[in-house]
Amino acid sequence: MELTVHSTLAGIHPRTEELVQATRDFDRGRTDAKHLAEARSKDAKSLVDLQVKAGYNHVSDGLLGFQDVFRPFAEKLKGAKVGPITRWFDNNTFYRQPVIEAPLKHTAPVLKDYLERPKLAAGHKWKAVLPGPYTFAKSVDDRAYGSTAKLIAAFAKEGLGPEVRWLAQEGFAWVQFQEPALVRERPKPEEWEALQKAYLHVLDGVRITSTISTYFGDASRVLNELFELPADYIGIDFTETPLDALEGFTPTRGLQAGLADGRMSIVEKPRDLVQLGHELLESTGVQALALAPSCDLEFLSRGIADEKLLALGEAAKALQQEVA
Amino acid sequence: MVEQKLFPSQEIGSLMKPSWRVKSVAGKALTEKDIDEAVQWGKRIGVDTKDLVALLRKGKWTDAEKAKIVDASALFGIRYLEAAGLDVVYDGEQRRTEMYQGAVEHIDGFKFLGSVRSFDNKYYLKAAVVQKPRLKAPYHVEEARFIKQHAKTEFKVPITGAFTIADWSFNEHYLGKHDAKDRLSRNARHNATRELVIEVARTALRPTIKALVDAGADRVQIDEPAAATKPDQVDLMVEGFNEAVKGLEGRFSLHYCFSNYRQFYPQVLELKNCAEYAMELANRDSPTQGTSLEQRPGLRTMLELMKEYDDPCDLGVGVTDVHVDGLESPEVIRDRLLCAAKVLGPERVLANPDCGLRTRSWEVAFAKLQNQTKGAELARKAWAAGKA
Repeated sequence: MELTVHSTLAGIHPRTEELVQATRDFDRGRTDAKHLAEARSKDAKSLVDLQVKAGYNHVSDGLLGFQDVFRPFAEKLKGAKVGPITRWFDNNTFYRQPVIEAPLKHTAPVLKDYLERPKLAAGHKWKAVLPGPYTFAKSVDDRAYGSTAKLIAAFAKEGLGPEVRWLAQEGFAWVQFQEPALVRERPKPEEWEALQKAYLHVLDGVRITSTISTYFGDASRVLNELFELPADYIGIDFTETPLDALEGFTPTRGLQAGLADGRMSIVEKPRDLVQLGHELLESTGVQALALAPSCDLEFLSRGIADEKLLALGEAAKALQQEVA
Repeated sequence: MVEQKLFPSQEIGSLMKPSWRVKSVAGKALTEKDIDEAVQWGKRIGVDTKDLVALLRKGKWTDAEKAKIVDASALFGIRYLEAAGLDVVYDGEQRRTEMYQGAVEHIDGFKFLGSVRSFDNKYYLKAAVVQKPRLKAPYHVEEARFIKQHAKTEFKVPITGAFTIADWSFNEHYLGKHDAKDRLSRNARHNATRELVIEVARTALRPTIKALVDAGADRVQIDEPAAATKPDQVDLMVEGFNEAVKGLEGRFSLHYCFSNYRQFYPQVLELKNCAEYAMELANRDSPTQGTSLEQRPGLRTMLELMKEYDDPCDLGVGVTDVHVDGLESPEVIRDRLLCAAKVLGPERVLANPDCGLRTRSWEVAFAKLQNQTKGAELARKAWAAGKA
């Protein structure tokens, strides 16, 4: 099997100052929804262009239309509503906690109005980023199910399942599920079981490549369980997981290596990223490696985030050439 | 003296800025409603608004005139809190912008990199530490002098803590000493954070706090919201606090909120020169009356921890929720204070809101503070009558 290396974004990208201003203007009634949408599309196009320039084989719209990773589901799924501002793990960033008031029901498209891809030129392979079911279950105020395992199953069935099928129909080639909770609060055995079934349900029969991305925590204690989940890639945050944690562990899936620190403004040199990539390839024997930020890049300013995007792209190209 | 009064009533920091202050400083036209708001509140809190109204009606203001308007809003803040019956006052942060940017702007070595999202369409400017931090000049001092000149009772000045400044910044200067692989390690980041915290505390906060005390501040409250999110770095927050108040005389308190308070022990016992914790507790407490720990779930954990660890600090009990408009009754506030007094002793208990009140309208915040004052008075009477 040929060893492959590529670069990828890992979640929400920070907005340009122009888009920041447009969102502020919108909130204060100084501009309308149409102009805001135009500003967002312009920003997304520049982000996509940058990824193409950097050699990314899959591009993301940076979730510029998402206020947080849960918002489309909180606003569109029946049974859910948008709740209070809540801190996002240990960051100085917050999300609006979805409140699950009643059994979830998919009654209308969820992601359609939040994605930029349909408005932009075709010709790219697109990547979507969604909340993973465990992190969803752990992050919401559940007043309907009373059990994490049940909520995992319900969200997979009514939220993710229909939307991932829709993404595939729309031509998305890749989907990443955000699962930071997996490395912050270890699932109980029945929750792992529910999660396994959930991902099987969501991905079974769907022609789409998948990543389950973990971050903000050390994955070394749950490596075996993580790599048993039915995704094509597993994402590890190496600012929290020691690099040598995977020594001797042979991943049975691709590895999305979070090597560019998404919460620090020092831009990693491509050569350093290449060297770290070599270390991972040698210590794990993994055959498919994605060089990625350690988490969403939304904790940085846009300029710094774009520099990291470019560094990852350059590093992936170099590493692929060196291992070919 | 406030110390001789049981259950003194105080605030935490911020008040909403009135529209007449916000608009005029931004150079925008005022409406009659804006001006009337100044007049009506002036009547309620005992501020003569004749000169202010004449100034506001000008419609366009020079920098010097805007400074006078800001002075007026600071005076309003002081009188507002006095009128609500507080024993320890402040100006409601009428001169300040934002707790991180407002501090960092006074320290050399920080470079703002751009907007980072807080939530929805709200952002803040985040800075990187690119050189060893050096204080430009002590800050908040003019604010303190103004309050000293005008306050009729003791006053307290809040200041952003060293740990929060460090945690909310990109630590390029200290972490940049490590190579790319080392920078990935938590150990390297912890050590780099420690270096930054100590440097900011020593070179920026300590001289600033000294200047505030010299300017007449009776109390200084160090705000550490970032500590709530980093349980593995409470030791750094404590080191930063100690370095900031080292060798200084005064009453210093620590404000933190919206956290799992268990994670602060036992490290907080290493705090030196810290007289008081001013805490958020109402947000998590029962809205009903009762003075037992079972009846006060919001206070129980903190009080049990303080007792378990024999923590000598005073406790500013958060008795009113700052995120809702609903009013806590004076009786519930009374019971929150009495519950704490039964564990710690009444001389160690103060009353305050959970946090700053800037998200509440002046009407709501005033009513909350009035109830806080009434609740404290009820607690005094109950304690004196042996009815706790």
